[in-house]
Amino acid sequence: MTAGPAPPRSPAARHLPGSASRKPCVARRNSSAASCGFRGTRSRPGNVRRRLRIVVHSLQTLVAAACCAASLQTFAQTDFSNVEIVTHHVSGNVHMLVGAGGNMAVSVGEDGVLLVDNQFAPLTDKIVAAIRTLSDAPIRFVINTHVHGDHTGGNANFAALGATLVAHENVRARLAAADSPEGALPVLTFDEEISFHFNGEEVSIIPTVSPAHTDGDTLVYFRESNVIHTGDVFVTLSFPVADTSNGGRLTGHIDVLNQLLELSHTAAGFLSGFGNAPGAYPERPVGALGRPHDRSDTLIVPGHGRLADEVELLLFRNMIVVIRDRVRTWAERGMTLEEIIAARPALGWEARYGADTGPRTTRRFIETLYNEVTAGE
Amino acid sequence: MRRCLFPPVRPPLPRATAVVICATAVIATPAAAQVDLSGYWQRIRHEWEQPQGGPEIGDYSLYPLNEEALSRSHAYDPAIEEVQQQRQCWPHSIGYAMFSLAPMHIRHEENSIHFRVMANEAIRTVWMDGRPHPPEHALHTWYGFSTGAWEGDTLVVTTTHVKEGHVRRNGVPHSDLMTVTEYFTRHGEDLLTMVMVFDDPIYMTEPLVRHMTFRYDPDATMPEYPCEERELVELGGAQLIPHFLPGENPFLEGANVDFFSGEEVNVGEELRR
Ligand SMILES: [Zn+2]
Repeated sequence: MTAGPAPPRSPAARHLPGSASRKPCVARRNSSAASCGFRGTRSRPGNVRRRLRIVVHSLQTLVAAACCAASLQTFAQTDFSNVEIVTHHVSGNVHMLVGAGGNMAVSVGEDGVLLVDNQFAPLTDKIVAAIRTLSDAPIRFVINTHVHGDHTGGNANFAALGATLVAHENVRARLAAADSPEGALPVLTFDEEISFHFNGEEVSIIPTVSPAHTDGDTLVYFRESNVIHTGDVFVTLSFPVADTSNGGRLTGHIDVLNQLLELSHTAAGFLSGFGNAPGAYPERPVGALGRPHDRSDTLIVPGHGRLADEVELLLFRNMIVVIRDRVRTWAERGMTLEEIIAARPALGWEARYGADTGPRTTRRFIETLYNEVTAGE
Repeated sequence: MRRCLFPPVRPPLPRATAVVICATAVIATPAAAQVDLSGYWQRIRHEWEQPQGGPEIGDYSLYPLNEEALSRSHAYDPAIEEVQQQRQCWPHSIGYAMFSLAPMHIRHEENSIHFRVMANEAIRTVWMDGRPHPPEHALHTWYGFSTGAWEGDTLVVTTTHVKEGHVRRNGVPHSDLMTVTEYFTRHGEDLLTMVMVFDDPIYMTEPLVRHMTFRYDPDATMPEYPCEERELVELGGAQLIPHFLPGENPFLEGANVDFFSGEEVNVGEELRR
């Protein structure tokens, strides 16, 4: 490996045909050990408590499960009969549940069951049945990562089963404004980080540093199990979406992904994703991949899509930044929105994340970025 | 000090810590093995060898890349390796790791075959017990999830669940939906050939086929690969990700001249804008 200077970036340094000069190689380079150690300085937001505002709303009359379907008329015609709820052990106490709608995370243990998000109301019975394969304990808390019906649709059902609904105060306000049945409204709200001490670990409920997908986005960090449920600020199936009608802000995703990168960490960095060295981590059970994952690798349950870790958070952030830069630069040069869309700023990721139909189209992504960067964000 | 797992594509620096692990090649032949591949294998030189230090920026003219891959590759700015804390010391994914200059060590286990292709603890497990690949929503890793089977005397390995990475070390991406099929065949005492087929529905127009040949080397050892996180180059905070805008990569001028036709390829007008 070379210890040379950073590759030249000026056009003067470019390689000309027939010239003897070489373009810079892209080998990563070593440096002095003095630069090591900055990972250890990562902040842990839970250490400093600012003004904490938890509001416990009066317990509403519990509403029968049937009525909450009315608030989900969009999905009333959807046939959920073929949906299967699959459980997937993530780490420690935490399992991921996959069905139709947003991914769920569930903590099971001596204290009972804590559920993050709950998909659509008609799926509640199946979700409960899936949880029962993991634990017979009562479902005590249900946390909403944000307001959307594919994450909160079962709220009233779970409240009827005795769970306490917990969400950002903006989630409650927006659910209330949307004429949700009373039983679907969170009874415990917050606008600062709060902690549950549950099943032997601290579970931090962390509002995002910026509105991103919505203005009620919440991260749920199971600190001992070392798993974060991100809600829809991070997904692996599509471009990010800012629901501007619910206070979302696309460029806010960059800040929130940086927040997630601060929270998460991988063992010795480079080992992320190997984790299968025999004897290296003997205490770890063999996971679904047939290999142990290092205990200190934070695992990420995205709002939609597959299990991930710090690497995918970083790649997703980089993608948004690169496409934002293209849109912003072209807008500054006077290109119109339609010209920018025609120039395909998302090329490079369209096949992986793009869509022409549905709520998460490439066009919507570019349009929202354009609106934000031309508004000076 | 932290070390990483990059294959030593250049000779170690004087100031880099080069420690040689004295490892003993244990050659065992479990009953499950159709052909014994165990031991250390040293790669030999190939006709496709790239300049020491890696390929030039913009040089991917013979890769079957679609417009999405070209857009990513053209946008690649090597400065990204310098300024991003989290990227430092990332290993190569299976899209590149098998082409390390370091020797490869193979060990047969009861129901798996282990490959060490880079230094330290990076061990690749190929499951030989017929287990299925994980579901779609499972974690993806640098080396992915591999299963193997014998077809005659050839070990055929299928790998899925790989993290997004690169197939050429100048920004040519592969996606996390890539499937890799490898064929390992031993020829007599000395030689082992590996053919790798990368099938990526996101970035490739057709499967990319690469090959490598190894020579048996009972005296080889696995070098420790030194890599340390470096001081970050401050270029404007966490929201700055080095990349080139479409058509504005200064390194692309004159790149990708087709060896046979002499024509410029992969840098078409539509991509220059
Ligand atoms: Zn959502």
